[in-house]
Amino acid sequence: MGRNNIIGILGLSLFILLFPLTGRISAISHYVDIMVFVGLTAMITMGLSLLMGYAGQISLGHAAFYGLGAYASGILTVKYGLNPWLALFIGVFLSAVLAVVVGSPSLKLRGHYLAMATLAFGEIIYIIFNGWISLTKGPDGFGDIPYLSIFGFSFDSMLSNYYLIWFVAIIMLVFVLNIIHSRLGRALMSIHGSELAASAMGVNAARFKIQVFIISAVMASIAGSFYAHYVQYINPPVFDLFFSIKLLMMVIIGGMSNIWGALIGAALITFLPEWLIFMEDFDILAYGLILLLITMFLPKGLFGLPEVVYKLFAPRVKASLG
Amino acid sequence: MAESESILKVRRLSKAFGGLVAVFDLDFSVPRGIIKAIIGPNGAGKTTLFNLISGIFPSDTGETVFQDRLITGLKPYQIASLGISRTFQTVELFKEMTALQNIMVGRHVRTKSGILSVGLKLPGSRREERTIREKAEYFLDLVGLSHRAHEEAGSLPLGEQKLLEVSRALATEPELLLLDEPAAGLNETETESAARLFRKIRDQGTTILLVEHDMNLVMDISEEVLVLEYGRKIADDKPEAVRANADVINAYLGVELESA
Repeated sequence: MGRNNIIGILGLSLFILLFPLTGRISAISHYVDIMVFVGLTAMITMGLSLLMGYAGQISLGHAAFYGLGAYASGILTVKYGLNPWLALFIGVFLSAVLAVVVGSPSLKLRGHYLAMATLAFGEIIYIIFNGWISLTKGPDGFGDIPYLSIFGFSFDSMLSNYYLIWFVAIIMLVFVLNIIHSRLGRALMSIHGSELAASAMGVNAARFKIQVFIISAVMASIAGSFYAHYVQYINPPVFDLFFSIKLLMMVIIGGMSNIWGALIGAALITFLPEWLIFMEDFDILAYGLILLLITMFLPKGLFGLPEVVYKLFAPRVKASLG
Repeated sequence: MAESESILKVRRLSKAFGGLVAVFDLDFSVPRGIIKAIIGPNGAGKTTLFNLISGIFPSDTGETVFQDRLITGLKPYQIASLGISRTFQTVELFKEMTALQNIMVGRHVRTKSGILSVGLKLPGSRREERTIREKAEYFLDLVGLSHRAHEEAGSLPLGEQKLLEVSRALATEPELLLLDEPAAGLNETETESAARLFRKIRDQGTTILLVEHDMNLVMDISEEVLVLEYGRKIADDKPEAVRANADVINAYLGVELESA
């Protein structure tokens, strides 16, 4: 997958390993908790970035897949006493099946039909979370979800969840990078380059778009399961349309055509409310402003920032030297 | 099973765009293992015919049979996987990918690792990835572009872009190769080396069907020539016979040959 990515993964792993040391600094001691949510969000945005940047499709329903994972884990473990890992896999299976149902008709067509189909799908799922009270407890939310455990070790602390969730997120990062640097990644890039030539080379565009959509839905579902077991309480507003839109923003702000951008975007937007507390309910203005500035000046997102800065200053530096 | 004599048979094929008839009631076949050229004035339906064979446009009527299999109505990617590959009149490379990556996409139909297998880097997919790279390097070398392997395809000069497209098509290891004006925009030396390359491809067993305006090239390398005018066939014969055909001279060739 290339030297840069391997260095990046090692660097990220080291950063994640050492980050909890910031817990000793009292002003930012709660940042580790926020980083758990960055990890969960990054699981979703990495899949979404693959879908948007490589398959060229937009989903407005990823909050719903996140919710499906969360509710599957919550309901199956609490109501039916299932093993949490089995519940997670049932959530994954459910999300994959629904991704096929929602994705196949719209991805066989060209254009942004997937965005519309997932918008409707997300709303339906949200209504079910709210309305099917006997199953989901509706707006009251679903609580008493147990912590995850493996071989007798219970992930009952923030720190253990932090490491577990980032371990899974980094595995997902490697998984996605592997896909990008494979025949499938090249096939997806070729569709971007020339759909005509790609089809003449035997690339079945619709098939790969559906596969990527399923993978991204499954990643969101897994994130949802970990979310449910970490927070131990889930309620519908977490999985609403606004969160789906925020996920899109993260991917765009980070830089669509690069998976690392999805991590940067997830981190920035998850930390942002923390830094915008003084704006109270007006923090949405800040989101809008950031999105506007990024799309105007950084079409490749924050990931493209070094390149833009270099292009801006390199000629001047050269001129002043020469 | 005996190998059929013709690799491609086109029967009563027609295609109109609105009122414009691009291909009309066309019958012809391509014997296996030869180079066959399609010539005709601009707008004769040559490129449309390629798009019909490769499945990019659906035909209005008629059928196309490739290696005894009806391929009419199949999607382009299905036709490609059956063994027909092509180049485009206006170069259609994946411009932002490197030259080598372009050819690696050509290996797509010859490989099969799925999304989970490549994501988890299972041993099968690792082996396959190695083979893809080796084969891609071989086909890049075949057209003499090894030194360009890691350059962006869009940054290469036109002549090399055309060669790269041929190489990408060859990387699918097709039975039938469709070349749409491969010599357009090439200088004399480049055209000569292209001719050598096409003969080599044919000698290695790939049948070539090409659309070309360069008459010297056509007469030089083809075993058969199909002449179209307004979407209809006016001749389909050996190059010498086509050269002598009065209809062809009237329609197209006269001026060219006098000046040559």
